[in-house]
Amino acid sequence: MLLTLNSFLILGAVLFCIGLFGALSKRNAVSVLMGIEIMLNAVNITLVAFASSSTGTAHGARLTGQIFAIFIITVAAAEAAVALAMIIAIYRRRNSVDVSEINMMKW
Amino acid sequence: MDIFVRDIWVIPLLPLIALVLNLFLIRPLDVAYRDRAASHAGAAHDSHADHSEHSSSEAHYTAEELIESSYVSAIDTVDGHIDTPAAMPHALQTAQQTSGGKQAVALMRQWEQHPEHPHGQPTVYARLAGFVGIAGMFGSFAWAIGALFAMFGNTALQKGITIPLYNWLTFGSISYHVNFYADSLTVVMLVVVTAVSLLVQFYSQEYIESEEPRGYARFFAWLSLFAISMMILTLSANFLMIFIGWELVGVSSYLLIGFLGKDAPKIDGGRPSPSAAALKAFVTNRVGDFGFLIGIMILFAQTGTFTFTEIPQKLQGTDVTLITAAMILVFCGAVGKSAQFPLHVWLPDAMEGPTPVSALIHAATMVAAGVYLVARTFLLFHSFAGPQAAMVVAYTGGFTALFAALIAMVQVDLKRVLAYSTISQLGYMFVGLGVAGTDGPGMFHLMTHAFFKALLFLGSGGVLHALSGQQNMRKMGGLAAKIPLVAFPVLLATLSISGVPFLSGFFSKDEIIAQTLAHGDIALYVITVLTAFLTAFYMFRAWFLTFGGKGGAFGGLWGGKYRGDVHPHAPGMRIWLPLMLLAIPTVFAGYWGFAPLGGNFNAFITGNPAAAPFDNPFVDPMTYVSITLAFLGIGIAWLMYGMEVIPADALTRNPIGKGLHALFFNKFYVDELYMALIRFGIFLFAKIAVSFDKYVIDGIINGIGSGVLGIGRGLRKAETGRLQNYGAAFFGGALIIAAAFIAVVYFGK
Amino acid sequence: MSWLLTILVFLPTVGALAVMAAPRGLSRWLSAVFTGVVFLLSTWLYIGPMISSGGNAAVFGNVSHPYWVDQAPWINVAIGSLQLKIDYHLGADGLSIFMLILNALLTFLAVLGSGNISKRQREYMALLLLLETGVMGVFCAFDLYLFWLFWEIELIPMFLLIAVWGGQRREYAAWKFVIYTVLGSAVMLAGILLLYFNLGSQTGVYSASFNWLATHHVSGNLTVLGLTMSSQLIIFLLIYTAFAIKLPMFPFHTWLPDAHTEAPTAVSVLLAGILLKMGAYGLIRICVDFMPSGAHQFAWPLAILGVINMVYGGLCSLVQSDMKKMIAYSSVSHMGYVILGVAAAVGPGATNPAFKEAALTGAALQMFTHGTITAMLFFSVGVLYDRAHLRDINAFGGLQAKMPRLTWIYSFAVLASLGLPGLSGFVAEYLVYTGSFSTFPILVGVAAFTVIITAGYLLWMLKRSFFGPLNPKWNGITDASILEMTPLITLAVLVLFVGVFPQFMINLLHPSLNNIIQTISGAVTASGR
Repeated sequence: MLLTLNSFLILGAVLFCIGLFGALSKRNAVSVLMGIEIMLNAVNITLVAFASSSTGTAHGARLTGQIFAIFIITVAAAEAAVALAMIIAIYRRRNSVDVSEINMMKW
Repeated sequence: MDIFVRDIWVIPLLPLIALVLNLFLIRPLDVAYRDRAASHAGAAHDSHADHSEHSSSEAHYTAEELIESSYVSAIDTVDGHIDTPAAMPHALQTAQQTSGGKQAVALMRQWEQHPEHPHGQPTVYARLAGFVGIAGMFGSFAWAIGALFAMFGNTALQKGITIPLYNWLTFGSISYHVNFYADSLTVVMLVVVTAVSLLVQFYSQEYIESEEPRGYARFFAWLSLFAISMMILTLSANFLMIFIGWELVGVSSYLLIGFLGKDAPKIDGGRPSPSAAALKAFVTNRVGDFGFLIGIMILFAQTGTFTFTEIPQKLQGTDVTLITAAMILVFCGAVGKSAQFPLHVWLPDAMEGPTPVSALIHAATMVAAGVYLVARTFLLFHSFAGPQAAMVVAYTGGFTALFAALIAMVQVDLKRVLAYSTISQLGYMFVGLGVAGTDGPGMFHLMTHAFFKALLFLGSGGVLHALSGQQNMRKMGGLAAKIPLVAFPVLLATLSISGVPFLSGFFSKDEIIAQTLAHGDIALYVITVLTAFLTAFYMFRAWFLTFGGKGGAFGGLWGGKYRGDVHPHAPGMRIWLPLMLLAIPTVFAGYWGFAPLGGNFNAFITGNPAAAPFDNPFVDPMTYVSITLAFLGIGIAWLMYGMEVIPADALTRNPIGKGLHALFFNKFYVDELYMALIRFGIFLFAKIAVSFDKYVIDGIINGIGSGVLGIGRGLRKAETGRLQNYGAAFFGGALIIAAAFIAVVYFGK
Repeated sequence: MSWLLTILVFLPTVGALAVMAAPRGLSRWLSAVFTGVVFLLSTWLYIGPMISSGGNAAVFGNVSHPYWVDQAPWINVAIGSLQLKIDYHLGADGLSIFMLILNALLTFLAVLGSGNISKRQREYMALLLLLETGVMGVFCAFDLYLFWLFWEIELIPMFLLIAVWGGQRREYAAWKFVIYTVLGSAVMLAGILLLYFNLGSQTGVYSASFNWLATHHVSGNLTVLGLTMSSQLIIFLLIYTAFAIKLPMFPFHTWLPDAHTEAPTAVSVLLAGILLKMGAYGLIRICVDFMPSGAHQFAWPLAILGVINMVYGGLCSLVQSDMKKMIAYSSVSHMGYVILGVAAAVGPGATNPAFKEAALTGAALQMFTHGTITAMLFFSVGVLYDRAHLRDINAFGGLQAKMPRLTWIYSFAVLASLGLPGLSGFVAEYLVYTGSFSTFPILVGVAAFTVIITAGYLLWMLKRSFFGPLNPKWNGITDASILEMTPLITLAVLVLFVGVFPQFMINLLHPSLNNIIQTISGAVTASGR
């Protein structure tokens, strides 16, 4: 079976849906965070797939997607660090990581 | 000599200086001085309380002596009413009880200086304020006399000159000028105003000192303010200025009527409180001003100018009906200010002000402003407006004269009788202005009336002063023997207003009565003659009730039985001297209009040497009719109240007489009618307006508001505050858009 | 380009930041210094041109050639044939200078008179300063969009000032104020856009600058909901709605009594003294000057509404028992004079333009008059409220005996308010009456009825609260302090001065207003009416 562009795109879409489902349905903040990570990586896959299948001739045309992917990985790492730190802080305070209970900032 | 006319602005300037000095320099000093005295008295009290034990041996004064020496000032001897010791500072009592000595007396002296002391004396600064006011007024009076003499024989000046001051503003062809104008009319009015003001201010020194020592400086400041306002009104060259003066005298009157406003309302006889009277006076005057303002606006819109001398030229060819309407509206202002029916209701109430104010403002000068206004615009009334305008003036005056005289017959309050008599006499002046060919007769009566009416009021003030505020004539009687220095000039004035020959009131009133006949108006003639009879009657009724009575000399004319319970005390020189001075013009002013002696008031006031003088009253047979009626009125009053051969209730025993008495006594129920109109007219409208605001406009607004809130409350349920729900909605929405996009792209073609 | 206007507009903002940064104890003094400096600078707006021209009042210029200009390009976007151009364009001619100085003065006095604020004083002062920026901007913006922007900026501090520092029903009042005003602003924006694009497509020049709008007027008709009206009338009505609410004009006035009653003293002063004048200023500067024939077509309804304002406001005042509410309704009544004066200026029957200018000058002067006199009334009531915590007229009585100073100044303000000659109220009223009469005789006759009602309710109030026997409940009440008297005396002097020498003010206004009168008569002649 030949791996065409479509295969990567389908993989990306499936992963995105899984991540989305996780982010929206889970009550545990860590799970929500994992869902978001999966979504980010789904996007990464899509970006890299487009980049490598690009036929553009302009300077750097085939690199753009990959650079974006690296950016996203960096941001995702930072985001994970910040988010986990917040989750730990909240856990210490409230002894729970249930997102439905974290509503102190609601007006 | 011309300088007195050309620089006539000096006349208002001098009282203005006095006002500024009094208000911004002397009165603050007065207040500061009293504050210091008060705190000093307080401090003295403290130190004396500390040392009272040591000083008891030094007691030189017994308690009786104390009462004799100082405490007596806290006892109102004339009122028969003793201030309770509780009203005295507590410290004083303690000092008396513990030491009874010098300290207590010293304390008493300080207490007398205390601003809360009921019978304290004005401070030295307050007296200074009085002197400043009087000095300013004297300067004005002298200048006015100078201007009067400058005008004698100078026809050019009599016709009037304009003294420009400055320009308010100019737009293209129209200007609002602040100018003075002086002609013989102005000068006569100014002499009257300054003379009466001067005497009243002099008189007020003693009067106010006992009534309201703390307001002494303020009182003189307001008197100066009034004088300035009245002078601006008198000197005005245009409708703008006259309206300014008009409103300013209204405010001075408001301030002065309410001057004793902090006193509790005087309940006896349903008298209003001074502040209520002041309010009524101002608002009633504003009703007249409403018409006045519209009248001015009509004339202004037609001519584009306010100036009296320019309006006639520019009115040529204007619709007569319009001018007639405008002049009747202008006359509305005069009706308000001169207390003519139906706007007369404020003047009797205005008597709640201090009596010198009643004499100055509400008898001699301000109320005559309406007459002055008509005289000033005489040309417009008689040459430009239709005959209806002059007729409205004459008949309003005639009706009011009779109407007020009927009310005056049965009043028991001395000042009220004089107030209604003022209204009645002002009515005469309007009759004179309405029927005569010149403003001479009306102005002549204005002048003579100013003097004798001011005298009557100041005299009644002397009575009130002697009886410590008693105004009810039933509580008087026989006072002529007790206060002859007041009674004598008042008798002259009473004779004068009653139309007894050779006194000033006779000449001026008779001229007006003669003019009604000359005009061929029998109805007005009957009204004026009848009013003359009533005037003689009620004035002598008042005289006998106050000064005379059964048992007095000359059949009850001079002295008699005193019915009051207060010991009358004789007033001082500052009260009787002005009365004596006013008695001079009361007797002699009439000869200015007596042709056989060369008096030609008419020629002077019109600035036309060829103008015919007033007729010699003694050659006109009709004069003897009014003289007879006057003596008849005096005679009836004499029989009823002097000799008491006719019982006073002779006419009111039958039901008709009784009903009429009630009608007159209650002033034809006009006040009640107006109160009902205000309550059920204006206030009803006001309440409707407020309800409209509250229920209709705010109802709509709040309805929209609560509608929006309701929708919001419904939609608010979508906002759960849970991020995941929002995320679901977001991606769901994105999905729907994507689906729609795909559908359009794939199936749209 | 001179920087004075920019400084005047933004110095208060700097002040607000400084107040927020400084320690709490300093906030009152710091804001007094800033507003005082702004006031001193603002007087240069008048003095500067007077010196440079040797006292020739014509130097202040008019809307097309204002003396003071600060201008810089700001936003310029072209989309196809459409062009959106907003300039940072500030300008001040006589009419603006007049209002700018009044605003600077009243804000300064309001800061001085806010000594009684103890709750969050720092924020309060900062918001007052911010408010000053907004209002300054409104009075000297010479670009329609910029005008609108400042118009909105002013709203926020005002809302907070009422909602946080107000009385018991402060939130209701604040919201009512905001909703009314925002509604007006939205409609005004629609009007501005309509004017901008219509005029742009007609002339080919897209500009919202006042110089341009004053010299180029929209023409033609527009159809709205099947109803064809002249474009000028539609735009006039849309923009005027915002001003009518601000003025306030019947029937959009009900926010005013609530806002006035609930706002703290100094804010009431600014509300009555300045914010209402924004509506009047907008009416004269924008509605009349840019849509003269629209205004002319609307003159009759405008005059009728003005008279309703005068009489209706007066009647409502008569039965109020709350002092502040009574003054608020009296504001409604007094602003009616402005509407009537403007209506007469644009009205039919252009027999003598001098009458029209008198009416318009009266209207403009009434802005000043009402601003100063009502400020005095509110300051006085504020003094009373600080001591008694009551504003019920009938709860007092005989205060004269205990508070002679306050009685003095309050009576002065009341007399000024009812149009006593020699004080500025009389000048304005007299000009409006005499100027309008030849245009609307019957209406002015009805309006003159106000002189009776005004005297009635004001003096009645004075009688019930200050005269008569002393209510023993207030035996211990103290008189106004010197600090409290300062703003009152300042304003009293001003009121007296303008009352005796109105020429001083008229000189300032004349070039602007005369230009407007000429614009109107030009437009009326052109439309053949």
